[in-house]
Amino acid sequence: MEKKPLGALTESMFYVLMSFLRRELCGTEVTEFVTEKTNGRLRMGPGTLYTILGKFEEDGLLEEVSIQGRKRTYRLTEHGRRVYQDEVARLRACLADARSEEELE
Amino acid sequence: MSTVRKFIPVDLYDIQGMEGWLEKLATEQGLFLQKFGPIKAHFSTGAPHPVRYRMEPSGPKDTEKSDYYRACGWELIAPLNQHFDIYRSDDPQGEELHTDPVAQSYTLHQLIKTLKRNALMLLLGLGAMGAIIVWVFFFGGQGPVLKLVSSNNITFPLLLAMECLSIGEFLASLRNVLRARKQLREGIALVPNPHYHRTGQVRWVVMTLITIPFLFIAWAPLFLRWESELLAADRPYPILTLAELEEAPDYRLIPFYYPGYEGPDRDNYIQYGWGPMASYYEVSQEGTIPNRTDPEGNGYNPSLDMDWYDLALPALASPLVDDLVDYYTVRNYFPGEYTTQEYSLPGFDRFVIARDDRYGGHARVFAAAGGRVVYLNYYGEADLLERADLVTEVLNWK
Repeated sequence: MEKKPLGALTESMFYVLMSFLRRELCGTEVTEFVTEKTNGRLRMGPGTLYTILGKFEEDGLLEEVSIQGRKRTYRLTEHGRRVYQDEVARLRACLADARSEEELE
Repeated sequence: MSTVRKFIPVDLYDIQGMEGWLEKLATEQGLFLQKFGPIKAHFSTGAPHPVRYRMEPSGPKDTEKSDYYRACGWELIAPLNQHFDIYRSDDPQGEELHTDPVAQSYTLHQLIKTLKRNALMLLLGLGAMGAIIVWVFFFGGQGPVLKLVSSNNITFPLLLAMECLSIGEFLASLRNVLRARKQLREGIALVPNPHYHRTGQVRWVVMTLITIPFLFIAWAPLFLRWESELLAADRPYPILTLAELEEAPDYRLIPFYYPGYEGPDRDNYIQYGWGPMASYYEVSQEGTIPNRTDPEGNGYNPSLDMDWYDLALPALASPLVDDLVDYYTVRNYFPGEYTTQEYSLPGFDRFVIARDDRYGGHARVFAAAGGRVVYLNYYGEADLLERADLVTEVLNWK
């Protein structure tokens, strides 16, 4: 049975995908990345983090690459990269629309 | 530090209500959750202070996740209902467990799938149970009213009603979870509700009020029934004696016998039973009248079996007569085996005689007056229509 496609990404989901663009990470490293990238603007609770990781793994956006002791490491899949790029494109389009609207003022 | 037990007033699937209840107890009474029992939750006591409780659907064990939860101040306290884990944070200003409602809605996905599957199984079970009960009551040999008043068959529909109630509760719980998911999907966080609905408490009260009478109804007949040989019976019971019917003072009973048998005299026996719909007696008599012969010149051995009902609902008397007539003259018999006739007699609401067309000395009588019904199965020469006064007497037995 085909899985229901993920709807629009929330901000937390978007940043989780972004964190994996250039590296393999474990859960806590994702939080560190998000906090650093957003200068602490985006807070991500532990429940949210692990729910997103689980959901992304289930939907094939991330895959687990290793388990070392208590630490699980994931990486982005091709599908995950496409989803991320689609979201970036959508956000860029939104931003472009906003700019063009501002220019009319 | 002592342990305090409290009834769980909230529906076990009401996430906001459960969190609100637990936080309120900690903040106002200094009660901190230890674990959940089947009915009550166990708390340790301490100085009241604000804490946060969060209810998470339980998932597979993940040590990294557990470590990280703990590092963020969220301690796993207790599982709830095999579907949830309760976490507590003692720092009211600490990191929230969930910061993205839409992501949180995914945590309920698997739980909802499981609950829907369980609901389907329960509904299928209920359907099967209902079908069995309908079959037993309407197609199972006896008519529905006869079935209802005989022994303790009322427990089956009661069981069905309890099953319906349980499923209703289960569906209400499922609705709570579906509502929570809908709210989260709309981006609205679940906030602990200190003004929780006391649904859980109401359900316990309702279930207790139903279960206690049900258990009584299910078990009481086992303790109230009694049986005895006629000669040994030490309690009063209704009887239309063969001696009176035959107008034979020299009547004497013939004990049940076959070679080697040493048990009670089952041919001259009484059984009493109680059910919520009726108390009833089954009285058997078999005897002989010396110096009297049957039409074929053999010894005359009349017998009389009687079923006597005192109904809780007098309105069932007439339908019971119909069911008895059907059961004893139609359902298990060839057409024309009995000639059945109903009479209007003073003192009776119904009086029906079914005469055996193959064997002249056999008749069945079905009579009702008020909430009493009697069925007589008689082998002998007396005319039961002429002796209706005796039937009246036995119906009016106190």
